Amino acid sequence: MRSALALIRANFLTAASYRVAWIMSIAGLAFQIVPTYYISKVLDPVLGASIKGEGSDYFGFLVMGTVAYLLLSAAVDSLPRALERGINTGTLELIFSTPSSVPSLLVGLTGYELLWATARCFVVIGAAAVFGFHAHWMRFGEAAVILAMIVATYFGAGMVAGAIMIAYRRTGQLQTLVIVGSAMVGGVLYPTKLIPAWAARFTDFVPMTYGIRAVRRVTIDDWPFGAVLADVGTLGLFCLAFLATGSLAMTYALRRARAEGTLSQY
Amino acid sequence: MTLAAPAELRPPPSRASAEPALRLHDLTKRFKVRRGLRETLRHPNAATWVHAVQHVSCEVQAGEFFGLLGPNGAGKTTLFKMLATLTSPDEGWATVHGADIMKDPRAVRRMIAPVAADERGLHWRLSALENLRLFATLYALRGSEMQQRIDEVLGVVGLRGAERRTVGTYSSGMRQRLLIARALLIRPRVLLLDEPTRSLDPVSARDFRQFLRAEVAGPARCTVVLATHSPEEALELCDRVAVLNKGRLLAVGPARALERQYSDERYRVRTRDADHRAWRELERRGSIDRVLVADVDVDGWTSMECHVPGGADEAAQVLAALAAAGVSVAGFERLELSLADLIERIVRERAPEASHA
Repeated sequence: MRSALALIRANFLTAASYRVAWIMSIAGLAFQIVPTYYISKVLDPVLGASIKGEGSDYFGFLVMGTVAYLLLSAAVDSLPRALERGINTGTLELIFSTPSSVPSLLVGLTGYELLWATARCFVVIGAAAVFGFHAHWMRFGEAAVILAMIVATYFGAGMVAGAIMIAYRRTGQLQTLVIVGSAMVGGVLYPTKLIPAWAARFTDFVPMTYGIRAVRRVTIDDWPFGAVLADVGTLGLFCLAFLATGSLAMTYALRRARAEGTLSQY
Repeated sequence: MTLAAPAELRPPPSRASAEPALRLHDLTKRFKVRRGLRETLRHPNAATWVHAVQHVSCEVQAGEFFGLLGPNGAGKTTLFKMLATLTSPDEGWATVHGADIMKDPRAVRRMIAPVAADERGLHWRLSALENLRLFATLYALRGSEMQQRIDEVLGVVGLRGAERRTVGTYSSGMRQRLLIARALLIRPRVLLLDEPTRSLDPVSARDFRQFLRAEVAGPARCTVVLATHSPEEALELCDRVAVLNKGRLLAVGPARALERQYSDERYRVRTRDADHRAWRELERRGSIDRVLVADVDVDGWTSMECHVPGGADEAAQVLAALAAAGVSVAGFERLELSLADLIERIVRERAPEASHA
C-alpha cells in the first residue's frame, strides 16, 4: 500500500510541475459545463420522454453521464498510458526491479489519474450545481459505490490494454474502442432507447449500461438501492470477469516480457 | 566533484557464510530475432534465435569488484538483467547470496541493485530528494530510517545541498551519482553497474572511479559487478575480470594476469637510426620480428615497434646488440597491452574453442 501511495505522490508531483496544464485542465472542464447546459436545454423537449426512469431533465442526465465518462476514460486509459510512459522513460523496469508487489505497483501507477478524474468529477458536479443541476445529494454515497464498481470493471479492461502495451509496445485503438464503444451504446450521453436497433443489441453486453442507469436512478430519481440491485449485481459480475481477465492478461504479459527481455524496450 | 567519506555505509552485520555473492551455472538466454512481414508469411512457423548468453558459469565472491568486459552485443546487459530478475533465463540457474533468481526473485531484489547505463530511469520533473523518497518506499524503507538513509547516500555521492533541485537541471555526472545513490539506498549486497561512466567526461569518470573504490566497494563491502568498455575502469577497479563474447564466457581472472597471459612482448624503441642494418640482422637471427615504424619526430627521432619473441631476456640482448652496432637508442620500453587488444586476443584465441564446446 505504501508503494502505491509513493507512486501516486510522485505522479501527483510530476503532474503538478506542469502548472499551466494542470490549471487549464480544471478551468476548461468548469467552462465546458456552459455549452453542455445550453445544448441540453435545447434538446430537453426532444429527449425528455426517452430519458424517463433515468432523470427528469436532459441536463441532469448529461451531467451524470459526463461524470461516468470521465471515470471510464481514466479507468481504461490510465494504466496503458502509465506503462507506456514508464517504458519510454526507463522507470518501469526499475520499478519492477524493486521488491514491491505487482498489484501495488499497478495501483500506484494509475492511482493519481483515477484520483484526478474523481476531482474533475467534483468540478463538473459543482459547476453543474451552479447552473441548477438538482440531485439527491444524500444518495451520492451509494452512487459512489456504483461508480467505483464502474471504475473497477473498466480498470480490468485497462489491464488488458496494459498487458498488450507490455507485450507489444502499442495498443492500437483498443482504449478508444472500449471508451467510445461503451459511451455510445452504454447510454452515457443519450438514452439507450434512441440507439438504432442493430446497435441496441450490444447494450446488454456493456457494463456501463447497468452502471450509469443505476447511478442516475439513485442520484436523480431517488430510487431505493434495492430497486437498482439487479443492475448493480450485473455490474458486479462484469467487474469480476473483467478484473480476472485483466489480471490473467497482465500476469501473462509480464511473464512474456521477462522471458523476451522486453520490459524496457520501446 | 566532492565525495564525502562516511562510515555510515557499512552494511548491517552479515551472516558468516561461505556462499558466494553470485553463483551462475550454465546460464543461457536466447532471443527470437524479429522477422520481416514477407519472411513471416513465407515461413510462419520458422524462427531464428540469437544467443545473448550461452552456458555461462562462474562465481563472484562477497566484496569482490568484478569486471565484465566484451564488445557490444557480448551479453553483458542481458546477464545483468537476468541477475536483476528482469529477464528470465532459458537454461541454467543463478543465485544471489544463495537466493535463486527464478524461485525467490523478491529476496534477490532486496539484495541486488542494478544501475543502468543511461540516465533514463529517473523522474526528471522531480527533485533528487523526491526520486530517492519514492524508491526508498518501494524498497520498504520507512520513516526516520528512510530519511536518515537518504541523507547518508546523498552525502556519499556528494549531492547534499543539491537534493531539492529537479533532476532535469542536473548535469550528466550528477544524474549518474543520483542513480548510484538510489541503488545504495537499500545497502545492496550486490551492485550491478552497467557502463556507469559512459556519459561522463574524463575527469568526472576518474573521480567516479575513485568514489566507487573508496565509498562503495570499500566501506560498504558491497560486491560490485561492473560492465565496462573502459580499460582504466577494469584495470584500476576490478579484482577480477571476465571476458564475454557472443554470450560466451571466454576468460576469467585478474586483469593483470590476463594481460600477462595474452601479452605478446611488444617493445617500442626510440632511435635516430631506423634504417641501420642492425635491425635487419636482428630480424634475420629471429631476435625481433614484426618491425614497424610507429612515428617520426620532427627532430629526426623515430619511434619503432617490434616483437621480441624471447621476452625480457632477449629484449636485453637486442638492446645490447643495437648499442654495440652503434645504433642511437633514446628509449626502449615494453608496451602494455591495451584492454581492447586483450579482449580482441582472447576473443580470437578462445572463440573457436567456445564455438565447439
